[in-house]
Formats: sequence, C-alpha cells, structure tokens
Amino acid sequence: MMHDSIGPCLDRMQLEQVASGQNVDEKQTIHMASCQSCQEQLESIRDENDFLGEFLGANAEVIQAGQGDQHQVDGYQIICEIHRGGQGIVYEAEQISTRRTVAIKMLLQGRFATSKQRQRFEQEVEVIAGLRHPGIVTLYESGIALGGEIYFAMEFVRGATLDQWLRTLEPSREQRVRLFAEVCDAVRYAHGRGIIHRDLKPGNILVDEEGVPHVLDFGLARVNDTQMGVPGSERLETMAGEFLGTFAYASPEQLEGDPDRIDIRTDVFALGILLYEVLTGEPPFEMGRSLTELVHNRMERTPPPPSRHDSTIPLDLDVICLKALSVDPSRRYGSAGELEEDLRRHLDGRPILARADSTAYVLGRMVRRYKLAFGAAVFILLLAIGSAIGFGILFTRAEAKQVLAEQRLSALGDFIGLFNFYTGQGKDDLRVSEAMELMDEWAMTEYQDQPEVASTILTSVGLFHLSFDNIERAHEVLEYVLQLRSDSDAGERGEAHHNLGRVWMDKRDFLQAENHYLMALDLRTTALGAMHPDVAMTLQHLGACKRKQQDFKSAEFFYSRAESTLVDLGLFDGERAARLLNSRAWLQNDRALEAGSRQDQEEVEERRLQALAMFLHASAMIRSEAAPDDFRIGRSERSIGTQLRWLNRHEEAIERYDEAIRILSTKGVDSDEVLATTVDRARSLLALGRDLKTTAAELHRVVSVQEHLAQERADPGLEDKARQTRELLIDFETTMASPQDAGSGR
Amino acid sequence: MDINRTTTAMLDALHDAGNANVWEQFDRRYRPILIGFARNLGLTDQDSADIAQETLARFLSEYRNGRYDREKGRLGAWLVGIARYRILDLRRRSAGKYQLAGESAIVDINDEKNLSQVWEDERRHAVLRVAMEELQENSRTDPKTIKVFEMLMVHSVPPQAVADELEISVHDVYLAKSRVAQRLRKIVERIESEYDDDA
Repeated sequence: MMHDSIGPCLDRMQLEQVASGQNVDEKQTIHMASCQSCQEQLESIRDENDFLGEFLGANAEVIQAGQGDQHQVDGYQIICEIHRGGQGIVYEAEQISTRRTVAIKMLLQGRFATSKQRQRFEQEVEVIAGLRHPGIVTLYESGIALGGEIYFAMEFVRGATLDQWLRTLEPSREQRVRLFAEVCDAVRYAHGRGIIHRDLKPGNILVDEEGVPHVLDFGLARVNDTQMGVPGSERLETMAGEFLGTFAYASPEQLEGDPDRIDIRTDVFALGILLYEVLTGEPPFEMGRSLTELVHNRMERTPPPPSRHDSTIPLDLDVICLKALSVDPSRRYGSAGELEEDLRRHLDGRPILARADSTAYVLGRMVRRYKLAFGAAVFILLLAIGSAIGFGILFTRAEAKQVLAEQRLSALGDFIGLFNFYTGQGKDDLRVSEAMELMDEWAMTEYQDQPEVASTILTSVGLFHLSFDNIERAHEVLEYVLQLRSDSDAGERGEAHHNLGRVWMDKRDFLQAENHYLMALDLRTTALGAMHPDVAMTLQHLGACKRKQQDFKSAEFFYSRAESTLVDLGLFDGERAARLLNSRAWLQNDRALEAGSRQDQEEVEERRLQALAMFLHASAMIRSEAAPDDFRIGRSERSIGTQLRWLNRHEEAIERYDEAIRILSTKGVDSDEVLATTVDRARSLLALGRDLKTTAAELHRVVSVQEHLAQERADPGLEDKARQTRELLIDFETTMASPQDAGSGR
Repeated sequence: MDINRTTTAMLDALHDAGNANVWEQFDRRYRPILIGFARNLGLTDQDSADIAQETLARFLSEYRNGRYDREKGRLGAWLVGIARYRILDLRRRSAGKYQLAGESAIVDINDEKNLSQVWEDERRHAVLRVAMEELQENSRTDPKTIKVFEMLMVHSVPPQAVADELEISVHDVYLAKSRVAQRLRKIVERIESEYDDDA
C-alpha cells in the first residue's frame, strides 16, 4: 500500500542535489522520508553517480591530462595546489572577506564521489570542527564548492612536515623529544574528546616556523559515539573492517582488521613508531616485501631498542618507546597523555613511570614470539638444554654429577640472560641461525675449561643444526663434542657416536653411519644395560641405516629388537612408538617392491597390507597424544592414503588425502607437504578417471608453485618433484584426450 | 576486421599462426591489463612494459604448443600465472637493487586471491577506458548530450553554468548526464560480454 506523502515530490534537480549531499529545505526532507518513489529515484541517481565515479576514476589519467581547470569556491580565491592525495586535493587560498590565507581541502573526484568517500569527508569536517587546540589544525568552515564538491577551509600552517623538519633542521634530541611531547599533548586533547586519529604519520604532523607541531588530517578519525552521541554511529558501521590507515604506521590490531579492538591505544602505537623514528631516524619495523611479511613483523617481532641505532640514547627512552610499541594494547601506555607524562618526566630528569619489564615477562614473551615466528625452534632449543639438565639430575646419583647438573642449569640461565633486551646488551631480534652461532661461540669460549657443560650445550646446538639441514655445521659441532668427551663415561661417548651416526645418515654415507651406531650401541649397552630407551633408539637408527643399505633382513632385526625393548620397558607409546611403526611400515613397502621384482604378487600384497596395519597403528598412537588437527595426524593420514593407493583402494585413499590436506593446509596452502599430498591425491583420481579437468588445473598450479619454490630455494629435490608433477600432468592430458573421455569435456 | 570478437573466438582463431589480425586484437585487449597489473605490483613503467611483452610472448608460444586449454582454467588466471612468474624472475635477477615503491609494494605476489583481484580491477579499468573511447568516437549519442557530459563531469563545470552556456535548463543538464550514464552502461555491458572468459 502507498503511504500518504506530505507535500509534492522533488524534481530531478532537487533529487540530484540531495544525491550530491547538498541541503534541501525541511519540507522536502520530510517528504523524502515518506515518499517511496522519491527514495527510489534518489537511489537510482546515487547508483548512477557511483557508476560514473568508477568510470571517471578509471579514466582519471586521460581526464587530468586534458584538464587545466581548477576548482572554484565561493568566497575564496584559490592560489595554488598544495597537495594531491588519495582522498583529496589541498589548495592554498585566500578568504576574500577576511584576506586571511587558508587551506582548502576537497575531494578529488568531486561531486561524483562515491557515497563512502563522501561520508568520510563529512565525518572529517564534523570531527575537526569540534577540536580547538594549538597543536591541532583549526577548521574554519565547510560547504559546497561551485562545482558541487564539498570543501572545507582550515587553518593554513606554513611549515614543514615532521620528517622534513627532522631532516632539514637536524634538531637536538632534547628539541625532538620536547616537540614530540607536544604532539602527544594534541593527541591527548583529542582523545579526551573521544576522538581517535587512526592515521598518525609524519605527513600528518606539520611543524610551523615557530617550531610548534600541528596535527592534521583527521579524515580517518573515528568519532567515539559514546561521547559524541548516537548520530552517525551507524554510518561508521560501514567502515567496519575496512582498513584505512597507512601501513607503515598501523598497529597490530589495525592490521588484523578488527575494528572493535581499535581504541586510543592504537594511536599510542602509532606515536610509538613516530617517536622511534624521531629518535633514531629509522623505522622500528621492517616493512617486508609483502603484506604477510609486514603483518608478521608487526605482530611477532619486538623492535630492537632505539639505543641499538644510537648508543647515546638513554635507557629511559628505550623503555618508553618499546612500551608504546607493545603488540598487546594492554601493555602500552593507556593514553597519549601517559606517554606525554613519561616524556616530560624524562626531560625533567625525574624517574619515568614505565618500568622495564621483568625478566620472567621478557622470557615468556621471547618464547611466545619465537614459538610463533620460528616454529618453536628456540623454545625447543631451551627445552632441549633444559631436559639435558633434567636428565643429568634424574639419572645421576654421584655428587659430582649433581654439581655438574647445577652448572649446566646456570649456563642455561646465562644464555637466557643474553636475551634480556632491556639491558641493551642482548640481542632480541635473533634469527634461529644467529642464536645457534651465538650459542656455539658462547659455549666454546665460556665453558672451555668445563668440557662436560660445553659438550651438553653443544650437543643440543649440533642437533638443531641437523634439524635445520645445516649438516656441515652439525658435523663440526658434534665431532667436537666427541673430542670433548674423550674422557667421559661410556654413556656420554655413546650419545656422541649416536649423534654422529645421524650426521652420516644425513650425508648418505651409510657405512660410516653404521660404524658410529654400532659403537654407540656397544657403549650405551655397557653404560646403561640393554633395557634402556637410549639403547632402543640406537637400535632403531641402526634399522634405518640397514634399510638404506637395502639390507632389509638386518633392518627388520634391529627394528624388532628396538620395539621389543620399548615394549618391555613399557615405553611403547605415543610419538616414539609411531615413529618406529612408520619406519617398519616403510620397510615392509621396500620389501614389497623387492617381492614385486621377483614377481611374487602374493608377498607383495601381504607386505602392503602389513604396512597399512602399521601405519594405522602409528596413527592411533599419534592420536592418543595429539590435538585433533596436529600436523603429525595430517602426515599420518597422508601415509595411510598412499598405502591405500598402492593397494588400489583409491576411494578410501582420497578420503585420507582430503583429511591430510585439510590439516596440513592450516600451515599454509602452498607448503611442500600440501603440494605433495595434492599430487598424491591426483594420482588416485587419475586411477579412478574422476574429476580429471579440475584436478589437472590444480596440478598446473602445483607445478608452477613447485617450480617457483625449487628455483627460489635452489632445491634439486623440489625440482624433481616438479618434474614428476609435470609428468603426471601429461598422463592426465593423455587420459583426457583419449576417446572415451573426449565427449564429456565440451 | 571484427573488433568485437569474444575472447573465446579470439582463442579459437589464435590457433592459426597465419592470422596476425587476431593476435593484434588479443594483444590490444590484454597488454594494457598486464601493464596495469605489473604496475600495481610496484614495478616501474619500463619494467611493466617488459613484463607485459614477455608474458604475451610466452603465452602465445605456450598456447600454440597446446599447453593452455580453456578447460584448465580461465585465461586471466593463466596470464596472471605467467606474469607472476616473470615478475618473480625479474625480482630474482635484480635481487637487492630492486626497490619497490610506496604502498603498491604491499600487494603480496604470493597471495593468489589478491593477485586475481588486482587483475580483475585492471581488467575492469581497461573496459571502462575502451568504453570512454567508444563513447567519444562512434557513439550514437547526440553530440550536445556528450558536450553536457564533458562539461559537467570531465571539466567539473557547475550545472547552472553548463545550462547557461548551452542554453538549456538545469533539468536537461541532469537528464543528459543520466542518458550518457545509461549509454555508457550499455557499452560497458557489451564490452564485458566480449571478455567471456574472464567476466
């Protein structure tokens, strides 16, 4: 049913004016509110304007090239263009009535700006109009220019942007800190009125000829609706989730795109970045080459203290800066005012309120950071040393050993001490590799006269080199450990040999590896007795070593001895059992291949089935101790899938692969494992002749990523995988081109 | 020469190595998109032009060798794939000395969703640019209407001033704007339909 509308409908011209944001009289406004037809027309005009806005945006270069004209604003004489940015053009102009110089800002796309841009602009006007502070650019008035664009006239500040000021005037540190405290004061004032700037950056801070800073461009500020009242709050909703700030100065919560988490502490973070740059001339965070890298740097790395760039910067300023730059907003200053207070305290030589965080917090944060950033490597490193010490305490009774264990513990403490970045001496932005080198060096020099302490630490370091494929370095370190332990007991020498066995395995010299493992077995059995988990471990490695030498019978012998040792010890569970079962399963597959070469199909089938049972058993072991989406479960699903594929049970295989891909993708869709599993899955699909086209397209993508990765990492293994994928693609193409399939494609 | 060939028709004709016309058309349609795409990833104008050239050349050879098949994915995605590879290669070759400028550097070349968005934006821009040319060159629209549009939209002349100069009412000025918008929409729709692979 039609509503009765008050007054006559608006004509085209009036509707156009409404659409471009001009005021109409009150009667018309009331009419609009109740007239569906006018509303629809208005909507269609807005829609049209949005389309034209997009159209002109795309043709902006052509248009600007052929256009020498300028905007006109009633009551002002435009003098020149000062700045043309993403959002608007700023002119220097003279207000004719008062003869004063003003800055006029207007939207680049003028009257046909999209409604979103217009809203932002209106908001800017609304926000600035409420602010009166010597450190904030004053708004005089706003209105509609002759071309229909919204403009506003504001205080004209003659001066330089903050970065220009720093570069050209080279102010003293005290001058810089004093100026920055004034910037904080201006932001504090705005915060007090519920206004968040959200886009603080050097270009938005002008320093005038008297050296007074003026914050401008509140275009992105969000009016805190609890303080400004309800109007406009739903309008702001449209901006929710849309990130507008400048990336270089964005806070972690802005980068996460969660509008609910943005509050005045977001500005505190940006002020922290500015302060850092003001002090050091360097940005605290690397920008990174990609958005992902940028976000990663911002979320997971604490910047080095400013004093790293300039050793004369006092500790107080380090602490103030890093506090403002805390990833967690609750650890930052609660407001720009608090930051200002500490800067003023520093300037007056009073103690600052921010305290350098406690060692426990620093350690906790470091662990968290490394856990996120480097796959827990350093965390595990510490844990490894810790457990080496724990091991020492648990398995030694002699008093001398107790002392040794305590020395090792204090060595660990010393090492952690190296990380205390607030002392300014430590290294806080270590990469794992650097940490290792530091550790090598440190253990070798500091504990030169205590070979047992040094060798424990170096063993952990060596094993980490090994797990990061740094084989040569691992070899060097572990060989050195063996030397250090030449006088140690059999157990410790056994461990050193065992680890060297691993090195030679990685170097694919299986005879050398075997020698070391046999030595280890002998020494460990002597020192620990046959019933010991370490002995079982060496047995298992010997099995692997024999398997690599194609001596499958011996391999099976060592594996089963390892298994029975663990079973007898009651330790055949979890990851340890799963690993052994996986090894045994692969051995069965090797033997199946061997049987295949002898044309013994029965044995092939039997060994494949045994392998399947072992993989399933291993999977159960992993599941008993892992979270539902643990990568180890993903890997084990992949193994099971492959085993099923070899048994020609493709339907089941595909289900397993799907699950594996789902789990492994949480680490990144283009990880080696996901790519490889995708290829495995494709093989089963090919065997079934199913989804050939989509799968082929997927494989194309996989090949290009693999090729790219292979080239980037110069990894021949990956190159080989890429080649195999390409070959599989050819199989796909051949199958698709074959007559029975040709009909279904078109 | 049929300038309104769809992408599908172009690809079909492209199998014929002797058909230079169709390659020219293909080039005209995709080169500007590729250049814009590369610029968006932070490359200089010169590098962007090179990337576009390499990508097109490589596409042609892969296409004629049967490595691209419509069934395997959209043409745009295929071209993005080649271009991405070329760009990575360029970055590798000039590792260290290659400086990406400004915010454009933050487009993550490994983020496929992002890349296809950049591609789509560039493609849309290309469509709108062609529409502009078409409107100016061979439009069936009344020249006076076009004049109104240019004054109003392109040169930002206030509506009243446009009305005065052309001796029409302000109401007519707005109607003219609306007519051009409708006409443009039709042109854009038609051009979009020619990209039957990517739209």
